[in-house]
Amino acid sequence: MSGETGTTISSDDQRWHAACADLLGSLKRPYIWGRLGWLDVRHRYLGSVLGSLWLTANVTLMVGCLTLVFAVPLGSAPGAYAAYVTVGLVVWGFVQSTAIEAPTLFINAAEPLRQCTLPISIHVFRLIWRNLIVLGHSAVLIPVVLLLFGIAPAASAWTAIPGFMLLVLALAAGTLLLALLGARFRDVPQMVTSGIQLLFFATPVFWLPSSLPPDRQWLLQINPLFAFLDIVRAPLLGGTPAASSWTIAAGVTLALLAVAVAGYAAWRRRIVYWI
Amino acid sequence: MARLVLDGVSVTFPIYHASARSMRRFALKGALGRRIRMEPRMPSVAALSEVDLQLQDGDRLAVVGANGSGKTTLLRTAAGIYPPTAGRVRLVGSVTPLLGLGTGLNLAATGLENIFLMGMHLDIPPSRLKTVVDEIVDWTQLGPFIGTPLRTYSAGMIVRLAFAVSTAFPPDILVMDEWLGVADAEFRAKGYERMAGFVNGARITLLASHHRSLLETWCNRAILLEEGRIIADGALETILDRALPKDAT
Repeated sequence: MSGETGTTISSDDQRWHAACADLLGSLKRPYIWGRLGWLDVRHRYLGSVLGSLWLTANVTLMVGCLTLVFAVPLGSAPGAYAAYVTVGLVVWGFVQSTAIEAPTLFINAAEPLRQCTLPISIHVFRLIWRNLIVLGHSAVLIPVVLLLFGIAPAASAWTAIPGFMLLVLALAAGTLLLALLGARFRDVPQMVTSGIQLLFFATPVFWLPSSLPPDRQWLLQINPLFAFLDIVRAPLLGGTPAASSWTIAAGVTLALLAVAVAGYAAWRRRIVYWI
Repeated sequence: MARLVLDGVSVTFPIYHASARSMRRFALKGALGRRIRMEPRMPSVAALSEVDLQLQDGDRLAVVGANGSGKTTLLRTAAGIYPPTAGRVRLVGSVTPLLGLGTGLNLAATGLENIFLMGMHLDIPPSRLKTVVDEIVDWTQLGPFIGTPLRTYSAGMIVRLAFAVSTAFPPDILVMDEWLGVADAEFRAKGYERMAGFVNGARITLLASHHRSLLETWCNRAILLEEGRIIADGALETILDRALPKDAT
């Protein structure tokens, strides 16, 4: 609903103001994206016996399988490796599903976008929330594995929380950006799907950073996903993230936010014409 | 006081070709420089051309015109969904578009959940909707079906539910196409009563339809659209006689 003071919609003016009002409007309506996100997850598993526990089962099987195959060749104790790979897969699953769903976000929301006056960015919040719920289902495995293999988190384990919040913020900005690009250029969904697969192998999710030879360590330096993974994973496993990880993660988040908001201000009005 | 002003509003839809959309074309364009034209200018459709319209409290506008004359585009633009490509739209007051049957309906969710889903898409906060849920459930006479998924409903039952939720809270500016009016006709006196309360609660109404009797019931002014332009604006009967002669309906 528009305020009593009135709104003016035209082709040229107040782009920044309108884009920020749209984002704030979504923040003020958690009951909308909250409920829609829940329903998305619920309906995906409707009628299945395990239901959303499939999410937990999936990551458990992956961890078991990867530990069986890779712990010994990578020269790691099975317990420590299982914990390492659990946190890695949980975080990666969140990044991957968000990235894959993002480019088709506005295309799939064409009907409500053409029929309703709700803020457009509500769909971004819905996607992030839906994937946070999915993440919650696999994240329960983390404390279980830590307890099982007697891995004590360090005193600095709490820093995983701000690290994770930074990741959520970066993904939200990235989702908005990919959704804009995907609505305009229909190649983007395909590019992201194949790109994220490459990144899974290029990022130390199931292999250790130390297994890269010194002359290949730059592969980690140029991969911002490693920085995000590092600031969440290292503290949980009783270690400390690399010094550069926080700087890179914060820098990338800020840059993504700036580009996403600028892109949104520039193109928000065109979305409904693109879809 | 509510107001709706369209000032020289044009809406042009670009027709994106499969190739025009591809990044390959976009990148090539960048690499070769913008001066080299890879294709003729992107074709587009002018859906609305320089539309001027002023509505205030008490105006109930019938929007008539042939298929493809821009009725739905005008409604969406007036509601703020399509930002105009030229000109400006000024809205004072809350606006609710009711275009098509129950946006937000989910066939896997129960009737009760769908009341809230539809309410969300109409931007009614759940706290406000809760105050009328019992009344809505009662009006639909769905009985125990209100707790079963929507896919167990007949088409008529879904329309009843969508109609009851859509008409729960009148906005300042009501923008609708004919599904609501047609639904109202199906429920006879009971629907008419609810519809009247709803439309009378709104300060400004825009209704697009081909049904003469529907427009005569709810409107007091009319515009006639042709190829995206308003070619007549004025008294209801005059314009309806021109656009929808009685024989035809």
